[in-house]
Amino acid sequence: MLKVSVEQNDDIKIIALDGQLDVSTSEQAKEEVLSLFEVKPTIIFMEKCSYVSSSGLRSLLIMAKTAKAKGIKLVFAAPIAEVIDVFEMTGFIKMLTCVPTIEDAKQALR
Amino acid sequence: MRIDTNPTDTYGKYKIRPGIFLQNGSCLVPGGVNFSIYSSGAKSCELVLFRNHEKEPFAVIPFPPSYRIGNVFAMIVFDLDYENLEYGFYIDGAYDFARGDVYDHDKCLLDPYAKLLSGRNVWGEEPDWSNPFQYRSKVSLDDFDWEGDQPLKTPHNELIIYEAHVRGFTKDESSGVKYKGTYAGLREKIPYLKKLGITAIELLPIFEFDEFEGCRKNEEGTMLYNYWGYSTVAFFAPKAGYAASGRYSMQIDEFKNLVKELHKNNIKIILDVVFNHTAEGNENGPYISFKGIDNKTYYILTPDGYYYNFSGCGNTLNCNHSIVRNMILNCLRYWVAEYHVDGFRFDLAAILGRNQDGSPMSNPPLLEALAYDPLLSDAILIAEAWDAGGLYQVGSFPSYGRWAEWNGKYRDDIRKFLKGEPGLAGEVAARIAGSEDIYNPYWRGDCASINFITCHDGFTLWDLYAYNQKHNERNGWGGTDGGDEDHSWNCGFEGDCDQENVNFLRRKMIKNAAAILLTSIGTPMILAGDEFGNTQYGNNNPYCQDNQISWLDWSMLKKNEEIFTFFQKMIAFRKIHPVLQKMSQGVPAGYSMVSLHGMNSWEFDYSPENRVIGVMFAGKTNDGKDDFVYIGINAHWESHGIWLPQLPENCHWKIVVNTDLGNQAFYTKPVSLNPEQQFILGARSVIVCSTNF
Repeated sequence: MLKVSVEQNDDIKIIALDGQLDVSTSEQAKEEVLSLFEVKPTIIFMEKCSYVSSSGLRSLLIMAKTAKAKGIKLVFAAPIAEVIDVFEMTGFIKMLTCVPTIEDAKQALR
Repeated sequence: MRIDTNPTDTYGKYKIRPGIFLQNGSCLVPGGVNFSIYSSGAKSCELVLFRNHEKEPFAVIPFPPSYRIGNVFAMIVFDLDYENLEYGFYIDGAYDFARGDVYDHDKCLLDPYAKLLSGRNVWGEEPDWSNPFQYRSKVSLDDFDWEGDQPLKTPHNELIIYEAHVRGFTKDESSGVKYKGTYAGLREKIPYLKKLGITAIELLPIFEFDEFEGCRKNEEGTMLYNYWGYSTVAFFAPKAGYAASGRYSMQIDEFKNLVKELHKNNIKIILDVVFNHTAEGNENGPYISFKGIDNKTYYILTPDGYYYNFSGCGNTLNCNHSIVRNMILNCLRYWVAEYHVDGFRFDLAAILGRNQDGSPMSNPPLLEALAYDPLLSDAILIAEAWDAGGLYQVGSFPSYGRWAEWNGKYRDDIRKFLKGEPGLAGEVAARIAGSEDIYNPYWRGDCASINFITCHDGFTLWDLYAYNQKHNERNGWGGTDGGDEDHSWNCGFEGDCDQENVNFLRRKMIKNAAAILLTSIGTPMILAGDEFGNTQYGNNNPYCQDNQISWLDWSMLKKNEEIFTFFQKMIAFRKIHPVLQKMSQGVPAGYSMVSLHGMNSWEFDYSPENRVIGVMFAGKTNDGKDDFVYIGINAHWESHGIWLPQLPENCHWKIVVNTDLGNQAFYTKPVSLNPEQQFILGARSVIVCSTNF
């Protein structure tokens, strides 16, 4: 299960992912996140995302690429250590703007 | 919406339809997974589906008769959670050993085209031996964001190969990387490779193998593994245990990312591939895949059904059977197209030219197909041109002008000469000049000779000059394994030594070897760690040692910084002299590209006792200036005076290297030489002179 929710939507939009991003959830999560995109700085808040699988990585990458194509500044904030490890090991870290906390993300988007 | 994405049948709760017959193995299709497998002798075939790591399958789905065309079964199964899925096949057929049919319906078989494997996800993690299905095929995601990457297109002439073992390269604590012993760890070391200056990395086998194959303990109680991995389980799958992300089955992404990052740094990647045999052994070996799918197609069998053993490993892959040939071709094409790999080194490649009865062929269709394949047309193809069945083809490997070879004669001649053996002056000059006596450039091109003095198989360069004998006792065979023809010399003391004169001599011998290797015509290959004096403690066959014997000790980099600096500078030197890469646009008037010299210039001494030679290369620099390089070698234990060849008026010799000068061996500022004066070449020393630096 993975829940997508908008936690804040003013000058910055914060979209939270809660649950596991795997083959059973990633396609729907991606569609939901893309449908929430507006042309404003956006944070994908990942603190409660407990697992990212291969297909999950691809969904995140498509979010990042779609945002870039639409001119949306997108930052992934607060992934747990295990998820950061997956990003690093596979090299996805280089293709996603990723920061430790929500505050860092806000800073990066200013 | 395509109409062929709808199920046509059901089996139990599973929706299915006839699959795509032209696809081998498994692949994702809209709504489901396509499974396809070939077997010529199968009476029936079943798809066996497991959830990750579970012993019992959750479904066994027979391929209906209408899901078979010819000898290929294909089926799409819909709505599968493919990340939590492992699969295999049950195949029913005849058991008639003498005819080569050994079908066993009870064995769950790995997909020979599996691109992703589970079962050995974390290196050294003891498997559950009671599980009958050990090597488990998984469905892979092939898509990857290459960011415009392609296999590198730089000419083969520019290759400087660095041979490394993925795990051994960074596993030791001293490597300082985060993901030790993995593809990701190797990626972390790219800045180091760049600093050294090599242009290609050649990895010991990374196709999925089982480190536990033949595992045992030695007398000291140390666990010995199948560490090198020359025993393939799955040809299309990168080894999961080499991936930091292997426990998540993300080895494909991790390996592709390594390739992408190497390419960003202009470093090619060459894979050491083992197509001569598989991990299934002989009639006593396990059923993993091929044996139970189509034994007599995949293996060369004796007339009474036993396995020919040209590999020395129990069986021999039937490389020139059209099914196997296509699999090998598909495999290499896959690694080039999907992984952007730049080339391959073929272990015991002479087997690839054997007929189905084991006899050598003059025009082996497999080798011809590889040489002319359009997707492989830029790929580096390197043969280890012999096999364990006595077929030795160095210089005569069926190459079609495309194949390069590990030049075993280069290794042996240089080693023997440097050690001081007589009768080798002419041979060594020929090796340095490009071994045209072995590889006629008219037929073989400019890049046929892969020159090396050390490789994974044998002593490291440090050990070559620290040990007279191999010390393989820890391999558990009473010290009898490994080669006996090392042509090594311990410089006066066997093993580790604190006498400065011995260590000075060892370092000098290493620099002599490096200077020769990096000024020879042909592609140089360096064994990883040789550039900082890595030792294997005299073990010349540590194929089973997953420990400090094999792992690179990076603390030596600091201790032997002068050796590293020497390698680094010699590599840089090679790169600025196109003539050494056979890339020179023209030759200075009145000179030949290569000329041989003795103590007197233009007088080469072929007599058996001569141990002093000079080789001069004449070409042009990249900006069109006349360029001369001279290497002078004194392998004698006494110093000798030599005369350098005269040059045109506008050119002047500068000495760049004198290995007799310890940590100053590579001149910070080259010194001009007066050609009217004799140069005293120190005992067991090498000099390199050049007109351009």
